[in-house]
Amino acid sequence: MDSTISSPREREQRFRDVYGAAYVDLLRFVRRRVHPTHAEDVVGEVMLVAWRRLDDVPADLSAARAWLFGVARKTLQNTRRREDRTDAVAVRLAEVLRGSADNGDHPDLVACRVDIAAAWPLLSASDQEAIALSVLDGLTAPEAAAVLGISPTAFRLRLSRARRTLRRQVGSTTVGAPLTGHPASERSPR
Amino acid sequence: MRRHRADTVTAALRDLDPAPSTDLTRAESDRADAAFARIVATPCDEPVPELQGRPHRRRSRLLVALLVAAGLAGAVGVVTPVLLLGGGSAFGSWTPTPVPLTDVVAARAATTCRAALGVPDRGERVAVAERRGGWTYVLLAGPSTEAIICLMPDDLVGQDPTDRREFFGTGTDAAAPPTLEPDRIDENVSMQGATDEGWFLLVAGYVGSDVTGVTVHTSSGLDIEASVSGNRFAAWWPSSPQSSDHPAETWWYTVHLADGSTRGTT
Repeated sequence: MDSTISSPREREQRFRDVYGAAYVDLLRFVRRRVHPTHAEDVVGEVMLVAWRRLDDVPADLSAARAWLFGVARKTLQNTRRREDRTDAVAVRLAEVLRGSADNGDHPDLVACRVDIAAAWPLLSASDQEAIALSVLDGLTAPEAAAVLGISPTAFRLRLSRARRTLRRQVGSTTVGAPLTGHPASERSPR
Repeated sequence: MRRHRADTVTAALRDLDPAPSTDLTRAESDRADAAFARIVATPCDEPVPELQGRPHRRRSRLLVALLVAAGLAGAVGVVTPVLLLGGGSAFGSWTPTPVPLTDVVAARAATTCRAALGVPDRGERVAVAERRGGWTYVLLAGPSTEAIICLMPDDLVGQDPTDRREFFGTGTDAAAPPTLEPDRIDENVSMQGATDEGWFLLVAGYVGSDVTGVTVHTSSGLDIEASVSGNRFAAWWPSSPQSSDHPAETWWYTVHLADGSTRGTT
């Protein structure tokens, strides 16, 4: 607990500050992990938790953002439907079509995008999660560790292993058909 | 085998971000503002359930349903559940097999549903309407609303819902229906709620074109025939709040197909 807010007005202002500072980042965090049409629902649930547990939200806004990401991650874990679910929450990547316009990007970058799109679904959810927290969600190691509920050292180790696995998969992936980045975490028809 | 530099990999990953940095659209901002208003209108002196690290299906909707009860907005927004709590006899008349409602009764139930939720008629149609024992359930869907779901006692159908505490309702914004293989189903709503009568679980979703029936099997031992209407299915059943004596309930489905075959799915 970082602080205790006394008056209702102070409480609402404090929540307004957190809400305003973190809403967009939280929405992006969730959109990387669920079908976009569900993202705002999840954000609403997370913010409701923050409102009810405002005294638990770190005073520092960057740390508060990580705290919200952690709540979102648990919320997503709780809503997952597969019986064989694991602790990690998979992350999806945007679609990339082979041969699509490259906007003048360097050929190496274009090729790398295609290779990663092919390799990403082959990663475990845990590996996807570690890489995404660092590269896409932009968290520091301590912040990402807080989201996952592990130590910063453990996160750095997990991230290192995940990057190594991604490099290995990228190196071994043969690209032969139009590629899409399959959303590993989306709900799927059954 | 192609090898890529580490910084190129990082840059490529960022290029593939499915949620790149961008400003909210006007509509997104409006929804965010509306959600803020709903949240701060809720009581903040009640204990909040700790989210568990291990997943149990249905938790998230339960959380909202429990906590947004006092935050009913005038229109369906991100999520606008109404929950009226009390004690009761846990849906003693409930039946595992639904009885479909006539169009007239379904329309009256829809009217009560909208009135209780305080939402205007935005062209939603009754997608599912059923009765189980003394309880009426309707699911409304429309171009701007994926689902408005209401559960009410039969004697509330067509009546003024004001001051009635046996009603449950919730709503979600529009979402594109999933593209389904003919023999598939897609559950997109699962939540726990309560009325004066007791706790319940409800599920709803879409069915493929070859699906003629859906049976829900619960970890509590119930086999429930879902209502299937058009491309939708829905079911609900009595439940209990999660506790050490009543761990999170799970369920799975048997899908009945037009050719007479069945397939199991979770």
